[in-house]
Amino acid sequence: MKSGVKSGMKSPHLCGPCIPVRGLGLDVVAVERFERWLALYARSELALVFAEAELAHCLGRANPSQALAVAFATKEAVGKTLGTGLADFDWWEVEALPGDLGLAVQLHGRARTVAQSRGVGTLIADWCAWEGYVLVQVLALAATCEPTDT
Amino acid sequence: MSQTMYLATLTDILVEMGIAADSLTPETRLRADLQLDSTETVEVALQIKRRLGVNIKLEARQDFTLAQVDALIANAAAVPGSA
Repeated sequence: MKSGVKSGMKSPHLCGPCIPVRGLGLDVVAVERFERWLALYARSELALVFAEAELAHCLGRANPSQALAVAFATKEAVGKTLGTGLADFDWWEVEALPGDLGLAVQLHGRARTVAQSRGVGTLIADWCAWEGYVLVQVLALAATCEPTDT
Repeated sequence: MSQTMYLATLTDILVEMGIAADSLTPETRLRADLQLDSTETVEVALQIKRRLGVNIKLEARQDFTLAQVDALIANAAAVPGSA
């Protein structure tokens, strides 16, 4: 099993007992589908789903189909984390850059707007792979940690 | 291009993805009836882009019927520069 831990839009700042979790999203996809996409579709066609920088990053990885699978699953997981699915923004507005030790996620355009409207300031993403599948988990943390009465 | 032709293309795409032609009607829904998952739904959009030259987004809160997808294609094709 190969896994990565990590990074969101910025480092989370956790204060005391406050756990500013806004959401959690998980997604699993089969890597084989992305092997097929790479064989079948031109880069210009894949741009319907993946941002240019994301495509360049994934196609430069040692295992491009696995990297694309992680990127795709991240988009789904972010949609679940925000509670909107992909209905309110386009695929390429969630940009995922999987690495050996982590998974960086950047939101753009309407995805960023949705996250801000829900008070999300940080996304922490992680992935692992096993037997032809990848699992991505995304945790959304609040932009600000507001003390609550207990 | 008529809407009927879009529906025929959509049917071809789904049949090539392994769905039985006799299970496809204009009222067939992508998720509830065909059980398409997210990668399969995107693949339908990729094939529509390749064959018809239009970009459509099938990720929505509603579960589209084939007739509704046909209408989405027609609307996208009617926009200058999209087809």
